[in-house]
Amino acid sequence: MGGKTNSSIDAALLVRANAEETRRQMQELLAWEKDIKSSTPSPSGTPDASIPVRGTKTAPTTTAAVPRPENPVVLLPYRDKSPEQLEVTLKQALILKEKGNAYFQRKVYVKAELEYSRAISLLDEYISQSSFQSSAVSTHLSTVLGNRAMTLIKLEKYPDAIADSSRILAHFDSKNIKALWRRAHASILLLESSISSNINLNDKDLLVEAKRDLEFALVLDPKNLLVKDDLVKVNAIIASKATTESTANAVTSKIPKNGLASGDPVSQKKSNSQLKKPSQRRRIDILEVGDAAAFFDKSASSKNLTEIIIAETPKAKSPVISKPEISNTIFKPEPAADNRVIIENNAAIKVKDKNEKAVHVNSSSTEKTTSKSFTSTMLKIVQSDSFASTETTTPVISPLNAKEKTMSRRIPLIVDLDAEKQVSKTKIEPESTGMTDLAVPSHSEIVKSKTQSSDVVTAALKLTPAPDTMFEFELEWKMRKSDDNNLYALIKLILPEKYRSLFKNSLEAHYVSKILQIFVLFYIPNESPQLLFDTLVALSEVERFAMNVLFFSSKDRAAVTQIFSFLRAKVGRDGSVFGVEDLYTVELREMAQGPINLAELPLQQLQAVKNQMEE
Amino acid sequence: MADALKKPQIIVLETKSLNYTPYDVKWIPCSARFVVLGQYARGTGAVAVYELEQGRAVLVKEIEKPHAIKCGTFGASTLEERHLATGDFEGNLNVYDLERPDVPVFSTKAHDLIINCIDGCGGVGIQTGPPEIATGSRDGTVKVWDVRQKDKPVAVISPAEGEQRRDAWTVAFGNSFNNEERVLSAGYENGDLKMFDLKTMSLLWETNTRNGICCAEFDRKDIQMNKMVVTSVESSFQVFDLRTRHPTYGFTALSTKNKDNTTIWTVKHLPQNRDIFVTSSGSGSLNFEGKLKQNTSKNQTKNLCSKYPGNRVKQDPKDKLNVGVVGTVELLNNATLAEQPISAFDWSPDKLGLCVFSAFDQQIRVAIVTKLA
Repeated sequence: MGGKTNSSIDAALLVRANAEETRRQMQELLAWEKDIKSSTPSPSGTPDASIPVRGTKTAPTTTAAVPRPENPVVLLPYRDKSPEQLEVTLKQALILKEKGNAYFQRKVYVKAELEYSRAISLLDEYISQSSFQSSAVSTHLSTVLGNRAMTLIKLEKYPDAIADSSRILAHFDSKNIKALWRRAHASILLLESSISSNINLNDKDLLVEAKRDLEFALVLDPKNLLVKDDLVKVNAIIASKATTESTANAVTSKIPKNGLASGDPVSQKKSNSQLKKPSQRRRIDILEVGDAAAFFDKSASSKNLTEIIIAETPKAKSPVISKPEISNTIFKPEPAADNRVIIENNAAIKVKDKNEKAVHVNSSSTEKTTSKSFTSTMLKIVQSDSFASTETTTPVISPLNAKEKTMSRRIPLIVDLDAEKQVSKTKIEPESTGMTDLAVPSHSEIVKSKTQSSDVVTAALKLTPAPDTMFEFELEWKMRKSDDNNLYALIKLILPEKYRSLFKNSLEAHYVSKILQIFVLFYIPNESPQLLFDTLVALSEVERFAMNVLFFSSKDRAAVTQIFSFLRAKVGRDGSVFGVEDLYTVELREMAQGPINLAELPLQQLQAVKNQMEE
Repeated sequence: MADALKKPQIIVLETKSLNYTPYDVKWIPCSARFVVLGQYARGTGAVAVYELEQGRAVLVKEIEKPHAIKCGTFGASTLEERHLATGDFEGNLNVYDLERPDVPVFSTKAHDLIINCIDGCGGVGIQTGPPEIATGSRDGTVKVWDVRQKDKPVAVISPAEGEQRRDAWTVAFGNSFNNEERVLSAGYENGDLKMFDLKTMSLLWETNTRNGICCAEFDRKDIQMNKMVVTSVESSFQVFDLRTRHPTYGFTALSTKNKDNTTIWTVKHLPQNRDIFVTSSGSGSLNFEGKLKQNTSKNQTKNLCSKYPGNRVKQDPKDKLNVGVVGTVELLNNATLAEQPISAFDWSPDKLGLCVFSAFDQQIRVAIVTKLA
């Protein structure tokens, strides 16, 4: 008995000892983990690099071998990161960006540049290691790059500033006015400093590029004083270097003879389109040709083609140029007829040859539609009436004459979009009625754009024709649902006056909700108040909008408040703003109490509700 | 009973289920990470890197490769680079930098058939001699590669004309104590064990152990060859003493048979103590064999240590030549940790007792073995 208890006690003691041992082991393990992760392992004595490959006499001189350094190299801890660590990286990057901003504002440019550089390297790391592409992060990166470019300009490091700006324009947004201006400005300053110090730079190229950048920026934002000043400067420098004149002239020489409201922006556009070959956006300038009838005979699918031209142009006041790229021309084919559909679009070229299926350059797009379905999603082209009022900021100038109605022809842009074939610049020259060259993107570039990141995809997606029916709208929406930038582009595509016709069966709540958010996120910072206002008006005129308003969530109402306070701040004491604002708000208190007491609704709403109920 | 609690304990820290079949696991030197190589159900290769965080294994990266990967080693790359050399089912030898795993640093079609086994020498931990990778394949050949020489192996060991091809199941480097000396031993499916001297490019010694050889390992690669453990199919393994070679008898061996009569899949020596090794068996158990510092009584259950005899050499009475004496092997501990065979095992070179192993039940386990010091 005693023996038994002894042994059981012993056993119990041993069990406890083992448990303690286990715990100790765990602690040791955790300590070791921490240790090994933080420490850089001491580099082993590197083997003598001169040991020859067995069987050969001399040491291999191939560069396949990683050169074994003479001095021990500090070994970095294993750099790859898990998703949680990546998130930390991202946060750090954003903090550094803010730091850089703070330094910049206090004019401590050296430190600002340092912080920005760190932020950029962290963001690069994040982007390269994260398994999905986030457009928000790309936006951050492009912003930081822009800030760094500005800082470098202040620090007089012009080549670096040019490099940063070029990177933004190439990879993120080729229409970034700030980047364009910065690049041009840095080039100019570089030239000036080189002139003063007699260094012979490649100044012709710099000048020409600077001028292009500035002109493009001017087109994007005609009121920008900085751009204007610099353009004057550049022109002055160019004037003093006569040789560059001719190239510039050659670029602008082909001015279409008729049908253009103004030659200058168009030619600028054209030059821009030619210029923009390096960038990813392709612009096809198609100017109105001439006689529709003449064209009809020529095109194969002549007779029944009704061709409609849409030029989704912004209202005159909108500074944003991205609208023009939405211009499309679509031949609406008869089902029986030759399915030749020719759209012109900035990088989206849908071509249907007789038997081929529609090939969409937007490779990422899911619209692998067959020809039949493609016709169904054909975009109708709006009457040219709206063109009369448009600014000539559109690169695609539809027939501006009222006579040239819907039958006005576009030059068929026949592009064979099979994998790597050459894009044919077709048929533009024969049309002697003052057609300018089409800057047809070289196919390889399109293809290149296919293989690039989602930024380009975003760009490409932006260039699709505006939806014209609810079905198309929903299709486009679904495609872009994940990315706010894309949604923004989509919403921008839709002209305010089209809202009512497009959403004629009323707009579902989640759409309205999202649209409001887009307004808050993108329209407020980027668009003119006028455009926002018009869009809001148009939106409020959508069928059963009052119903939507009634069912706004608190988030929606917050968005509305934000939008309207912004508008009021911008517009001032304009009563119309208040009017529209009323349309968007609903006094909830009354609503909450039992059935809607119609007598207490504001008059406008009352009217709207009444109308909608009667329908 | 008391004794049972004094022996080394195996604490399983983490069991991770995978959605691919793991074929090999390797610790990344000088880090708390390990890499698992395997095959997805669709036939493509899986390379997954895990990191130990607070005792749990966290997936850091998972990469898919076009062909299933059978084996890998860090042995031929330096500590700075830590490139992983892998052999896959198509016979390709690829060396990857795990931080940029999309494109291999070195790639060659080593064999026409699956590469069964791979070993590296001259890199991490072994600073002598050129960095070499040995691959053994189902086509019966064993090839030695140097990453600095593309497309052409340093040495090819193939069966003679007319001889039947035998699958090479295991390769192991050893005796690499200076820049010239190196020995490569290869075990085949029919029980052949051949040892090649790479300095003279000749066959050093061969024998047949009657059962297919699953795994062979020298106790250390970078010392003069001392001991080698060879495991084979019918639950037996042999310990060879390599210090003394008799012209007729060759190397002396001690043969041990486990009771459970299953294949012994792997043998791995503890990096920190070359006298302790672990064998993993088809019944899902690990046997620790070796020698502890303190005196342990003979009746230990199943942890093995090798004990050196008092005299390592004795004289053969007949011809007065030296014959090696191999000593004894003791089982230190045994633990059954899986229901399926444990096919791959690796000791961490940085932390004593930390190990990771994978089994055919598509699980990897990280464990710590205590009381090994």
